[in-house]
Amino acid sequence: MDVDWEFLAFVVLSVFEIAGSILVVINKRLVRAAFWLALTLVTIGAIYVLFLSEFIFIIQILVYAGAVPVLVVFGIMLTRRRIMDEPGGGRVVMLREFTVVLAVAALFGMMAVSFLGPVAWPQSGVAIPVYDPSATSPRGIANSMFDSFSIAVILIAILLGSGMIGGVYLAKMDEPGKVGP
Amino acid sequence: MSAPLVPSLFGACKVLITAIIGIVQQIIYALSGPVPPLRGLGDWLGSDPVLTVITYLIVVTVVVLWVSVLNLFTIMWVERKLYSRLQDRYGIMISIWSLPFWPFNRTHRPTHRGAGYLQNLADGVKLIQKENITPRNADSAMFHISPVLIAASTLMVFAVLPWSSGFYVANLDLGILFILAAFSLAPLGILIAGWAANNKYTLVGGLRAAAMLLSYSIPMVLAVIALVIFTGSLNPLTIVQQQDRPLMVGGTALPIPAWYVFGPQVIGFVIFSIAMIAEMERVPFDIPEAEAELVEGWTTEYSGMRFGIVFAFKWLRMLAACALISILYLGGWSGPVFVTLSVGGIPVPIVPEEIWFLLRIYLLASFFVVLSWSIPRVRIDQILNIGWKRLIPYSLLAILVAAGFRAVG
Repeated sequence: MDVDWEFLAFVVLSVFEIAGSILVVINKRLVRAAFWLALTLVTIGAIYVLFLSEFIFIIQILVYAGAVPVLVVFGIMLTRRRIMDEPGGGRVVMLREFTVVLAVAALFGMMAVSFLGPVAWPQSGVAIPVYDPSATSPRGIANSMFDSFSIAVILIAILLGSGMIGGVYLAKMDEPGKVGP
Repeated sequence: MSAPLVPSLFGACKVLITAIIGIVQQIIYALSGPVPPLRGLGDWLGSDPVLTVITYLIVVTVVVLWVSVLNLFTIMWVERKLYSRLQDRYGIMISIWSLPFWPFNRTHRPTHRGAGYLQNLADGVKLIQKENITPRNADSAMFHISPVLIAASTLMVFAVLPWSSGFYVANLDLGILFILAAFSLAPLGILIAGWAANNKYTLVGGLRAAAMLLSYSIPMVLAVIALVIFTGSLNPLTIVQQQDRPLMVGGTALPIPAWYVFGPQVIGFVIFSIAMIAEMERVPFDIPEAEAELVEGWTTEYSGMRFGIVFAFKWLRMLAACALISILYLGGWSGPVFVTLSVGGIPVPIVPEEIWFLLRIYLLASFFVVLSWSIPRVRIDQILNIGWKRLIPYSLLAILVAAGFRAVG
């Protein structure tokens, strides 16, 4: 009996990821939703390992599982009046939300069939190295980022920097005399 | 120049497991005389994939026991004994002579005047037999799962951390990056733990801890970037190997080894050590725990072994931090092997790499203990000021200096 362990691992991880993402959305308690978000992001990273991209997996753990759920929980905690204050429970059958979900699912299914069908997907994972020192085949992540897409990297850095400066400005606007309108 | 005591942990465990499974196989074959289907079980048990899987399980168990029993007890003993002696008192004293059974219960020896090594075992047993209290109106699922999160993310570090050039579970090419990513998973667990206990003091402690840990992750990663400009590799074995040769200054070889701390990386060393003191939540960056201010900080509501887990994992993170600092900047496990004995044909180095590594780890740990118990605690806004306004510019300076040295040659 020949078990395809990679496929089995992919199926198990996908079950965890889909269950985690559903639990993020339908959970009434926000901190539990943040925890399920962390689980979902970690399993997405584990699927990256199946694609032989362990650098992206580590960066996913570092950024997504390490910082984004903390950001979400900070946002929850700084906006609650009492500690365990939960948002009010909604009605049981949410008809408007269900129709929106069905419409979006139909649109997504149409797009998936039309985009994913004609693409020639490789049969097994192709390992893309972090840095490819040979100048002929620029297949490394660092090669693409700093040769072909260097302007995009600089623009993203400027965007993030301006976002942070804007955030500090908005936070300091309450204090009179510090920054003006 | 340096030689490991265990040249390959996987190989050594494979030999052991092959021997043990061989004996089990013989027993099964002997039993398969009256019961014929057992012969297939014996064949399957002796096949190579099964042996490999069992060997990996045993390797993981050996490393987990080595880390969380031997090294944890030793580092806790070092800390508790050292700070007690700094305070001119005896410190922990429960040792092997406190055991109530023969041959240790000699009446002419005092029972509680020993070296103190078994005190931590006694504390662990005490914590296990205490009641596990869950506060009323606490979020029970989150309260129970956050120690698991903290423990899991810390043990992930030890799957990748090598203890010599042969004693490791896995040798990742991106090992240092994986260790830093596993360190950055802990703030989520601490934040959820602080929130889920329905206690405003733990919430404050958890928020402060998450803010501090996240802001000190940035200079930590930047200091490692400054180092990687020199090493060109994130593999801990490669980084240690590059430090195993004598230091070259302008063409002449000095008699000191080429550790990265003896060079332009010294700025990175200082920044990384300070960031690691913050990641370990030690004094002076102790404000999340803050004894005598926040009771026990974010771990206040944890009782029994759950408290034992989060408390012990603070020390495991200290172990991992000292190991990381010594791998990156202090030459890891490189050191001269003075004598090599030959025991039954196997060369046994007298001072192997593991001993040099443990020496460095415990010297660093002693330095951090003396530092913690000498200087006062820093306030949280001062901590965040130091992290964002002082350490990040200095770490960027370290990157510039490293790049400049590398560009010049």
